[in-house]
Formats: sequence, structure tokens, C-alpha cells
Amino acid sequence: MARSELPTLKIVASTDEPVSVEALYRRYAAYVATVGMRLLGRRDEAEDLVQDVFFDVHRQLSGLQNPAAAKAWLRKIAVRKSIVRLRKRRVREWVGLDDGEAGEPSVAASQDDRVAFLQLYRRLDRLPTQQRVAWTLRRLDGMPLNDVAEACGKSLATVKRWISSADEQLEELRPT
Amino acid sequence: MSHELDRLRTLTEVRWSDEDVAASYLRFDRYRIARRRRRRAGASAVVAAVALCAAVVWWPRGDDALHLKDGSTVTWASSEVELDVTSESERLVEIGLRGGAARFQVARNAERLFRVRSSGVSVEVLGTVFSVTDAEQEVTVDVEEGRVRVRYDGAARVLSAGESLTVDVSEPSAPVTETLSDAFPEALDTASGVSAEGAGTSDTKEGRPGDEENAPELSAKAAGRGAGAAPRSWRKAAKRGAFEPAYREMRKQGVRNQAEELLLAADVARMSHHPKDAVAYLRRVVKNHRRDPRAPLAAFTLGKVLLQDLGRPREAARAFADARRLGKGQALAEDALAREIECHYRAGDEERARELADAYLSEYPEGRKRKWVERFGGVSR
Repeated sequence: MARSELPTLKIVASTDEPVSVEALYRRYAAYVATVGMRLLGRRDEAEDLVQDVFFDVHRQLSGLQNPAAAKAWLRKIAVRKSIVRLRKRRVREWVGLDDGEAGEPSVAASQDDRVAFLQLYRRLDRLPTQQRVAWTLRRLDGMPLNDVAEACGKSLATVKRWISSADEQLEELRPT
Repeated sequence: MSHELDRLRTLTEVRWSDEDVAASYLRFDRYRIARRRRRRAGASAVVAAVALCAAVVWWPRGDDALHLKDGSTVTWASSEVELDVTSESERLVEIGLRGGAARFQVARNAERLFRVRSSGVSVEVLGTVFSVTDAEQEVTVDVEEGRVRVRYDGAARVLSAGESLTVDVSEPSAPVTETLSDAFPEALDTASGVSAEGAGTSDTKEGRPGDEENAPELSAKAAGRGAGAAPRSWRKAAKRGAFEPAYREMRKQGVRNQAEELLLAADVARMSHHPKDAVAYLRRVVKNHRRDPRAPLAAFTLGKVLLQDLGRPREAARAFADARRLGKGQALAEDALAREIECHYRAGDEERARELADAYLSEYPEGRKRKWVERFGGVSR
């Protein structure tokens, strides 16, 4: 099928109409990919994550009571699945099945930017997974604390503590 | 830190055009259907297990394998796959595939033709690993290693490792679209037989060094010039992360022979799934700009593309070795050595992999890649 023949995705014209997977995909796939990219640091994994997240969406769509909450719902699924991927990656790295190499920026970048990207993700790799996730959502994604807590499924006090601890550790790990 | 985070935020944002989203949705739809079929396999496997005849037609059940006399193996993960071994001789192995997806690991043999037929599409190989998916209106061929020739309706196309091709079989003379590789050639292959494509030697299996069939030429207008060159809108598109449109514009506008522009062009080519073009640009950086501080990273990236995207481990090993030389004393040198070890292992040069692994463990006794190196170098301390 030539690119010009790719199907046009259906668009939900108003919030009164039922939500479809296609409409959510069109509206939020790039957002989910961005969340994945920031959490995982690897573009190919972020793209796989999008497929995984929307597979769950496809199965659980009837559970979405409020279409206006779709973005937060998708984010929560993406965060949950990213945590699983990060933990699996850690095990694979430990047994030598993952080279532990960070990916690359999702946009074309200068050498300095690439180095900054690599250094950040190498430091993030040293953090406990949930601290890393909370820190990334708050500091890199710029998410409000309440949203971070909701996405992580933890209390506000817990994520604040994680983020603070991650700040300290990342500062200590900063290359001299 | 705030400015640094702002910059990192930009570097990690994924921006998709409507076209990118549509293409991603297509992949999702296939993935969703494939997963749903696997879940139904449990229910249908019992019914499908009734053999029709004396084992010429196979009704596979779940994860399974078919081992052929020539040493090739066919595997599948869905009960909907139907395989029909129509020929199994010293000169020809031919298999028909209906429904679902199967993966073929073909033992190398220059004297034997291995052919898979699916809905009028023919895939001919000599020693490689590839998959064929028959999905009602279309047949998709994905090549993991080596090269295959795909024939359909009088036309033919050779695919290399990392490339795939989807054929719309819903109508006669339907167009063929490459989802990941370069432009479809105009000339038809009218040979009645199949030449020994990729047989035997390691060079032909991997492709000759520098053999990028569609390596883009530098634009005659843009080469060596600064002011007065065509507008460089593709650069802006690349910096926004819109790699598909950037690639199209880049091919029209050309790329100057400057390290920065060549590196950007390589990024655009990679991100838009044109690894061979990326190789050509990266090679130019490494060859023509060796003293540029970005040359080690270019050599390293070249190695990654050759290994991961194109399945050419020997060439990749040379690129990583070059990255080590160019980046001596830098952190990248350690990573490059680890990758070089992996490449030699994947190319079957285990002795060389072991030598280099010993060298790594001596130079970096607490190295970050220690586990990786021990695995591919076959050593442990």
C-alpha cells in the first residue's frame, strides 16, 4: 500500500460522540511515545510501548468513563508498562543480554546535546526504577506533582520523597 | 540545571506528522490482530490438529518447528499457518504458505534453490533468515539476515537484511510497496531461473563494503558551496523531528560535504528508516573529515547501523575498530571495543572475539560492559 493510500483515521468530532481507539490513537499516540521516550531513553522501545499501551486501550476502552480523562488514563498505562520494561531491562543487563547502552535523542541533535542526553540516561540508569520514573515525570516532563502521584499510583508524600532523593543522587553522579 | 532540562525536554519529545501517526496505527492494527489470533490458537488448535493426508500439508499447533532435510528450519507461532512442502530435493526445496506468518532459517547451499510461495508471491533464497506473512490482501516479507529475491506478477526485487516488502495481492498487477527499503526498481527480472544470489562467500552474504545500492549523490548544486545553495528546509524539519518529510526534501535539495550536515543527513536517513543512505553519509564523515571531533561518533554510529539495521557484522566490526582509533582516550572507545567484540561473535569469528574480550577485560577490569563482553567474548573472570 503506497503511503498516499494510508487510511484517514476517524476523528471524534465532539465529546458527545463515543470515543474510538482510532481517535485516541490519532490524538495521543505521539504523547504516549514522548512519555515512553522520556522514561525509557530509547526511541525504538518508546514506539513499542505505544503499541502495547493501545493494545490495552483496545481491550479496556469500555472502562473509560470520562473521555476527558483519556490523557491521564493513557499516561498511567504508559508509566506502568515503562516500569515493567525498565525492570526487565535491568535484569537483562545483569545477565548480559542487554548492552545497557542509552538510545539517542528523538530529534536530530548536536554532539554536545547527544553527550548531555547520554550522560543523563546513564545517571538515570543508576537510580531505583520508581525514583527514576517519578523524577523523569516531574523534572523532565514537567508534570505537576499531583499528576505524578496519580501516574505512579502512589501518595503525594511518597513521590515528593522519591524526587528529592533522585535530585540528590543525580547531582552526585554528575560527571566532573 | 533548568536550562539543561529544557534542552533535554526538547531532545526527548516525539513529534509525529499525520502520516507518521497513520503508519504507526497500521502497525498497531496488525499487531492487535496478530495478538488476538495467538490467543484464539488455544481454542482452535485441537480442531486444526486433524491431519489431512500423509503429512504433505502441515497444520501447525502454536509454537512449533519444521526441520527440513537440507538443514533449514521453519517456525511459526500461530495455528492459522498452513505449510505445504511441494518439493524437497537436492536442487530445490519449495514450500507453499497460506495464512499467518512463518519464519524461515535457510541453510546455506549454493547448489540448492529454496523457494517460498504465498498467494502468487515467490521468495527465493540461498542461506538467510526471513519471515513471510500472508494476511488476506497482502503478503509481507521481512529479511533478518542475508538477501532474498521476491517475485510477483513479472517483477522482482532483491531485499537485504533489515528490509521488508509488502505486496498487495488483492488484484492482479497490484503495486508493490517497500515499507522500509528504497525505491522499487523499474527493470523487470526476466531470468527464468535464479542465479546463485548471495551464495557461499561472506562478502556477498554481507554485501561488499561500500555497496550501498541507492547511496545518494551529493547535490551538484549544493556540493562545496555555502551561500547561494538551495533552501535547506530539510534541516529545519529534521530539528523538529519530522524525519519523513525531511528525508524527502533532503533527497531533492541535496547534502553539502560538511561534517555537520552529513551527520544531520545520516540522522534523517536513520530515523526515516533508510539505513543504507545513513551508511553512505556516515562513511563520508569518517573518510573526509577524520580530524573532526565528531568523527569517532560517526564511526560508532556507522557500526551500529551496519550491525543492527543492515545485519553486516564484519563491516560493523571495522567501523567500531575505526571508532576506537579515532576516539582513543574517550569514553566511546570502551563502548566501541565492546561492540566490536559482539560483531566478531556474530560474524562467526569467535577467536577474534575472544582476543578482543581479553583485551577489554585487561584495559577495563571494572568496565560497564563487562557482562556484555564476557557473553560475546566467551570469557569470564
